[in-house]
Amino acid sequence: MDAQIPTLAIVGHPNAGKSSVVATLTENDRIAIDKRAGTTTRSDQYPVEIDGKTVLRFIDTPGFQNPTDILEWFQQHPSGTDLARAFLEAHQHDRLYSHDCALMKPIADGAGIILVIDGSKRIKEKDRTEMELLRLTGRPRMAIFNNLSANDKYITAWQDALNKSFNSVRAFNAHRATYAERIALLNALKAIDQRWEPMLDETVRAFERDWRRRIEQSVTSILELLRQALTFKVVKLVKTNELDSDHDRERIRHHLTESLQEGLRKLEHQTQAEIREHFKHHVWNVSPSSLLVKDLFSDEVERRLGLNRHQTVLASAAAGAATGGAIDLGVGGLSFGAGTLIGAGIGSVLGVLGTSKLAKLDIKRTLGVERFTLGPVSNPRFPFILLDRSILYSARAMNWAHGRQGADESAPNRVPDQAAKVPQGFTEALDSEDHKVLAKFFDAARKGRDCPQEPQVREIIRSILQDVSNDKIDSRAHL
Amino acid sequence: MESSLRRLASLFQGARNRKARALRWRVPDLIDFDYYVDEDERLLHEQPTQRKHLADRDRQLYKDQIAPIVGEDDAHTTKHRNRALRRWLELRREQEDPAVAELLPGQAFARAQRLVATAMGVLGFLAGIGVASTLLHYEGDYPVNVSWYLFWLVLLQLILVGSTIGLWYGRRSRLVKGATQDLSLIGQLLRPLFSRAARWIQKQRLTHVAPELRERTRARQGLVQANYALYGPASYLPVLVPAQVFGIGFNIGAILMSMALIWFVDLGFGWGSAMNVSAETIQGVVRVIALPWSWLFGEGVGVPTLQEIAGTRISLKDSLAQFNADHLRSWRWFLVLAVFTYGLLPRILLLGLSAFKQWRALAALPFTHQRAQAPYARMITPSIETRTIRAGAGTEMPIPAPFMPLTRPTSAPRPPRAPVAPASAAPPKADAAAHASPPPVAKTPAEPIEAPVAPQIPPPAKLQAKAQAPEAPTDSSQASAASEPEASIQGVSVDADACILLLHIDVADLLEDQDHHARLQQLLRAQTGWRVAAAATYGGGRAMTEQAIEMIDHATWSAPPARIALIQDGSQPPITENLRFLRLVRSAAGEQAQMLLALTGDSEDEEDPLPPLSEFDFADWLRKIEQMGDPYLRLVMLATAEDDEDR
Repeated sequence: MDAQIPTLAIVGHPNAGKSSVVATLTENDRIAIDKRAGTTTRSDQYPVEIDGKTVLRFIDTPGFQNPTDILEWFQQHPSGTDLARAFLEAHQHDRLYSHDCALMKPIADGAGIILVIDGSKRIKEKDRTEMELLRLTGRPRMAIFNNLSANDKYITAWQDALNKSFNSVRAFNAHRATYAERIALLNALKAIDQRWEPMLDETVRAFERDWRRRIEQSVTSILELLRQALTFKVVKLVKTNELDSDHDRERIRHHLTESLQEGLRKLEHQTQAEIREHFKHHVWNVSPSSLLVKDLFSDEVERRLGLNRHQTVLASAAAGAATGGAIDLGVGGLSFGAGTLIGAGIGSVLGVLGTSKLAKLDIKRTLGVERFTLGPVSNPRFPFILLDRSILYSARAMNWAHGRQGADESAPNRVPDQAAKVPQGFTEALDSEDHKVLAKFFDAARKGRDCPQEPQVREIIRSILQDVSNDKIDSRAHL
Repeated sequence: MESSLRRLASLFQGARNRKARALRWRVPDLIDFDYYVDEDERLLHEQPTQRKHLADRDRQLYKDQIAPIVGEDDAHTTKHRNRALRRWLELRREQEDPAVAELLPGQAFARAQRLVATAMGVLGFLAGIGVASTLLHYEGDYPVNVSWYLFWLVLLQLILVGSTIGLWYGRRSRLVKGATQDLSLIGQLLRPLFSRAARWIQKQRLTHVAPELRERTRARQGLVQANYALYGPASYLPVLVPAQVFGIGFNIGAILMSMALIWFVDLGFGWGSAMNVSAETIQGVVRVIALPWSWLFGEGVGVPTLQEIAGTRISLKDSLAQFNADHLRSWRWFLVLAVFTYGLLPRILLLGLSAFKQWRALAALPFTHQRAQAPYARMITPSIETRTIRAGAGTEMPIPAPFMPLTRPTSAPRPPRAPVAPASAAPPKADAAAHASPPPVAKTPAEPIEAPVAPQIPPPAKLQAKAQAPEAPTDSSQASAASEPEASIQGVSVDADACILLLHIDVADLLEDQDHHARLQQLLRAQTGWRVAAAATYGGGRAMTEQAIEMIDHATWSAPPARIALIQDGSQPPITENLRFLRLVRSAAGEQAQMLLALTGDSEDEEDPLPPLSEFDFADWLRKIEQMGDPYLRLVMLATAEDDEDR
């Protein structure tokens, strides 16, 4: 094992969450994680490579199976010897110690140690045994609290016990860790062995660059979604002689409404898949109560995301776009009823997006055929809602720990997500200038034009995502 | 041989580097660049999983073939971005099938550009011939009016050239921008002409390729478009070039036609005016016009003399016969040189200027727009990946085999030993605790379960050990504290309704007062009906284990087989060490000894040291216990959720 490459063996007793820690640190949700103990039966290596060159290596180990025996064996052997190596040589053929040997091998090879403990539980005899035997190995070592429940009454006792035997002690919840917390932990690894500092600096820089790239890609995906959604329309051609009554037209309008909504949902799903891909998520379990699970056109999503009416009117008026929709919103939809009566060429999507229609229905008659076109979306609130949901989805993808698949989300005392600090979505919290810029961009996108405000829009979304990554703004985990 | 090969290789490398340094952006390159960027974006949109593939490809290209040429130190600068993306484009083209590379939209555009330029040149040439022949139309009645010739072929052209230069340099002013935006001939006419020509060329080429290739490349049709807004002058200058070529063709046509007519036709030139303009005035004007060439072709050759000017003044009353023939011919070279100087040369200069401006605009392209950022970011961003190196198939958690031989008779009942005095049942070291909790006494079987039993639980061996070594339970002091089993174990007498209790140290640590002991016994009785005859602690090292095993070894059972109850915190999953202890107990107690392993949960509440275990943790233990295959070992939860509620 190359001594220059920081190598860290993640150790602890079975079910301490070692694999979750590795999964979150390496953003690999394909590592087998099970709530049942003993899933890890071998020491798999997870090298972090920059341009194919290994700069950091994590080793996920099986849990201790015979910690008391190991400690007593260590205590019986003279200090100064390489105890991990000696133990390995003495026990490598003993089946009963197969997991302990797999765990001890990277330590014998010179790896640093990250002990994973659940600080929400009492310190038990096995914990003391493991702390002591790891101290006796003489390797650089860090302990991390990977608390599986919200109980923090034992933390002080743990801190006291760990400080005696470990170079560094940090909290790192593998099920909740954000990007900023991952970077902080990587930086903290420097404290346990100064020789690793250059490599770890390079690794952290690479992770940061890579993160910026992902944010940029996500912004591109979101802008593309907005462009596509705002130009999306559905068309149906019907022979005039097949249309007997207004009822038939109403049926077609209803059908087109459903098609339009379905098309927009599909576009959103595609973008969400892209965003998941950017942040390397293959396993994804959003809470059933999240707005991300709710239908895009549901009342709840409409109520809680996007701009409020006042903001929408101001932004739309400033952009000089969708004035009709803005007026509709401004007068609480009172004009809407009158609007629908003017000719068969005007349609609407009732009951969604408040009082204003989603898109206009256009009917053209030529050569015995009626061409029904619904769309593109003219509702001034819709793009803000779509943008808000996309940012919310990105924020969730960014802060969704890859080791979370092993979390028991139904446990009553589970570690809670961040407490809600901000009640509204992301776009509502922006200032009125940003609203105007966004409204202008949406207006241009509706017309299929290039928009001079696009760089500004890009910057607005980018800065929201960056601030979410760095915990500068609330990630709206409750939404 | 080797050195010459090396020299050859270095020469080749030098040539390559020179070629690399010479790589410049051309407009067809921009079109191909946009095409490749579009193709990558489309791929990413349709298959997001291809992100890694694209990132690897571009990073590889950069590290292996681009960075060695353009360097890495000035990354993120305009110059670096410009050069790196140009190299990237070249490498992408090189990766194409040669047959397909011919069909790239940039190539089609280049051909279209050549085609349009040639067509414009020819058109201009024909127009020049036409105009010159019209202006030099001479039937012998009147001389050719040099004023008209100069007006159409010199003055007008000068005005056009002047306005072109004026518009070019004033293009940034709002006034000029507004005036030219909608009327731009270039924008309205030439650009679509280019696109159409390029599409036509692509179509023609497609008909000549193999059918399978045709299918692959059909998608590339219609992609002849650069994003003009992004590239500024670099994108619209190329359409200025054919305009200049038209002008050059026009002037060459006019000059050649003029010369041909002069050569083959006896032309007479003259000038006239209704104003009272003197020949001297005209000579002054002519001299000014002829300034550029008069140093080379002076009066009489390139400039008519005063007499010649005076002699060619056309007056309607005069017939042609009155003019001097030499005077009439004297204007010919002046006119040709005027067209050459004021028509052809400015056009050539404008062509050169356009080409130069285009070269400069292309060289200075910042490629900061979003689309160009993507490949550049992929190139300069080090790829960061986490691999997985599997260590082969690992074995399941080791389950220890039974210890053989078993040290106890199995089923043969043994006569009970002589009752042991209660005081002697307690380990001698348990003084302090033993006084607080009387040692086990062989109770009568008739004693009801509900009877208060708390005082009957003996303090386990661990508690005794803790009296001496409360700290550092895993160090050797603890071991020595509990390392005198022969002194502490005198042979416990266990009645038919009693058992030996082995209490894990984690649980024992929590049993602080008599209430806790009473509850423990109550729960145990509810599970088994057993009282506790004696108790020992385990889980704190070999010495403690030996002490517990000694107690079993020396116990006297009034109704064999033996009865052992073990209490363990089940919130931590079972490990080999736990199972090995169970095997050890089995070995000491006998093959058919009744063993009960009762699990507790993790105590978060000091009031309740024996909380119920979660179903999930219990299932984890159950799996492992079943794997042990011990039919006389029973696994239970010491307390259930209902028990907890009852409290």
